Amino acid sequence: MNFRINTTSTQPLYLQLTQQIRHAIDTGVLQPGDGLPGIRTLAEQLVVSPNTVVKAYSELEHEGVLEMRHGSGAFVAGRKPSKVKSDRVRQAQERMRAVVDRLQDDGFSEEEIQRLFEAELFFRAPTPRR
Amino acid sequence: MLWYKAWRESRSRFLIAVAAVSVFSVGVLLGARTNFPPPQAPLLPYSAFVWGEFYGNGRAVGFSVIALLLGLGGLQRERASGSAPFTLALPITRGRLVVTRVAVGLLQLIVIALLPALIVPALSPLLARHAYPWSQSLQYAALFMSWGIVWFAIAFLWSALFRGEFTAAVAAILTPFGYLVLYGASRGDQRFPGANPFTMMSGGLDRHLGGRMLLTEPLPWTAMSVLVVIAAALLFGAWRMTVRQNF
Amino acid sequence: MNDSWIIETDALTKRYGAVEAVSTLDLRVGAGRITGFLGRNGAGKSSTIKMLLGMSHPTSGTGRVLGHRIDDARANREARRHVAYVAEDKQTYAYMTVRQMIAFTRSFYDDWRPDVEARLLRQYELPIHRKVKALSKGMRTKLALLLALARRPRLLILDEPSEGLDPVSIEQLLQSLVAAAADETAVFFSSHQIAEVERIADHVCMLDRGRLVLDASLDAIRQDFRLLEIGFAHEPPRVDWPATDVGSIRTTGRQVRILAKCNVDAMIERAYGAGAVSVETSAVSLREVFLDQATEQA
Repeated sequence: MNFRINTTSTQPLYLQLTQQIRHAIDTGVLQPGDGLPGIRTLAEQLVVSPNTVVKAYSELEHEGVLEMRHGSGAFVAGRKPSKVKSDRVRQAQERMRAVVDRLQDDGFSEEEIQRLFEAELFFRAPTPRR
Repeated sequence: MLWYKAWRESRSRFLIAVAAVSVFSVGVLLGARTNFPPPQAPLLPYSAFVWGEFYGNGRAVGFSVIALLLGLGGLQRERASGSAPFTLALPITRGRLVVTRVAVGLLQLIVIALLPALIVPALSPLLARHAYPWSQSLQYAALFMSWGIVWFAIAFLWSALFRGEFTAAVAAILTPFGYLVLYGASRGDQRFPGANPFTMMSGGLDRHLGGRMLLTEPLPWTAMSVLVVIAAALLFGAWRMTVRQNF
Repeated sequence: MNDSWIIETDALTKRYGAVEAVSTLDLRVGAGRITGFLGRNGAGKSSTIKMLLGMSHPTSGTGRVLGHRIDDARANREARRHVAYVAEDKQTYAYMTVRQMIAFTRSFYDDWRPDVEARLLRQYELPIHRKVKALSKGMRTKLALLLALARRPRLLILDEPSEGLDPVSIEQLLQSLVAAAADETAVFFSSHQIAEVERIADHVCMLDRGRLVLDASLDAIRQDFRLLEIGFAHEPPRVDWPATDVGSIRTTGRQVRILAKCNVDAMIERAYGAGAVSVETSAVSLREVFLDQATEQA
């Protein structure tokens, strides 16, 4: 993650950093769940005072843009929806595939399989979930 | 590692003095085979020969110069070389710096005083084919040390006072001369014979120092104690000065 | 005196003959930050640092480093156990080798860090068997830096640390200072290199002719300090600007230039209220603030 700090600017360095982090999040370069460099690491990389990084992270945490996880550092706030959803969907798709394969092996056509599913869902008695 | 630093800063002077004194001592003893007894004084006792070569006035001056040179160094010298801020920033008191230098210097002086004191009795039978009593050489070493610590302390004090490598050294070397000039001018020989350093170092206070140049009286403890007190006072002064200085 | 100050002085004064090198200085350096110490040559920076480290004795006034009084030899010695110092001269013992200097220095401190020592030896490429007198100026500087940085002191004082270093080495030095600050070492360094101070310092103290003329955070300087150019159509009137808000006031003809430290809007209003016909505001860089304060008449 490369940030550029302009020391001759009249904008405080920590504000420059918060702006650049926000920009990175807005453009998707940094995504929810992504970890940001540790305070010491980023300070050494940018060659700025650790306080600059601390202030930037604090401000963004205060705004809810970052979340500080104790012991792990700073992370971009917000869940990663895509990952969680896609896993479930993928699993469901696999199970569906297995069922459809078996039905086809038993000689059912696609239309018949579709009618079976519709019937099951339409006339489904509310069964308690296992 | 302050001891190491004090040692390194005085090592050259010390080792040169050790080498010079050792080589000289052995050389004299070797030469005694042919030079002793001298043709113009065939009845000269060996002890008198040893006195002339090792404890006479000239040698006492030489030892005094060595003592003065060993007392040089310290923070003012470091100021000239630029390392004073580094030394002063160490978490040690200035007193500790002073004490370490004094201890190392005095130990070095003792070693140099003991060199002939040990070499002469040990090697005389072997090299010069005559015996020389240990008690004599050790007593003369003690007499040398008594003024030696005063010379050391004087140079130490000048080093605390003057900046730079050479000013202190020059002041140190000139001090014995200055002292002797005053001594002579006040007719010290007649009034305070004990206050002549070279007389005392050469055993001249011993009224029974006859032709054999052997010490027969006990050492002049009072005079020696006075010298120890004077040396201590000078070193104390150097310490106070060092503690109060601005660098 | 407040316990949270790493360095604090109280009317600290140093006189050399008729000259007051340091004049009733009330310096406050906070823990947990990097403080730049600015000033022209002869402004009193080195004199101040010497007094803080017990190298010279104050003429009057007092001070504390890490809570220990500077004018008490034993207290100051105690403070020095937790202070690392790089002098302007960066001279160590000419007759020792690099390795011997490291061993020597190491023997005095409990907070030595062998891992940092090894890393810096590699990074600086110091020849461990070479005597200090045979080192180039740059190498001598790096050795002096290593001897201070291979520790974990509570306070790191550096006097012109980047002098004599090439740009790559300067970058490494600044990184080391940042790393030290991340390790909870308070950093106090004097420098003529405004750019370096602008980069890593959180706070800046500036001396001019022995007095403290600036004591501000870099954020405040960037965000709040403003240069006001106030134009009048007549002789500028006398206005009592609050002393704490103003860094300097200069009047030339019908123009008044004010370096304002805060409450700029109120000042602008006041200027107009006093009959100003134009007020121009501009931000100031640290360099401009330095030049402004350095030439300010006492």
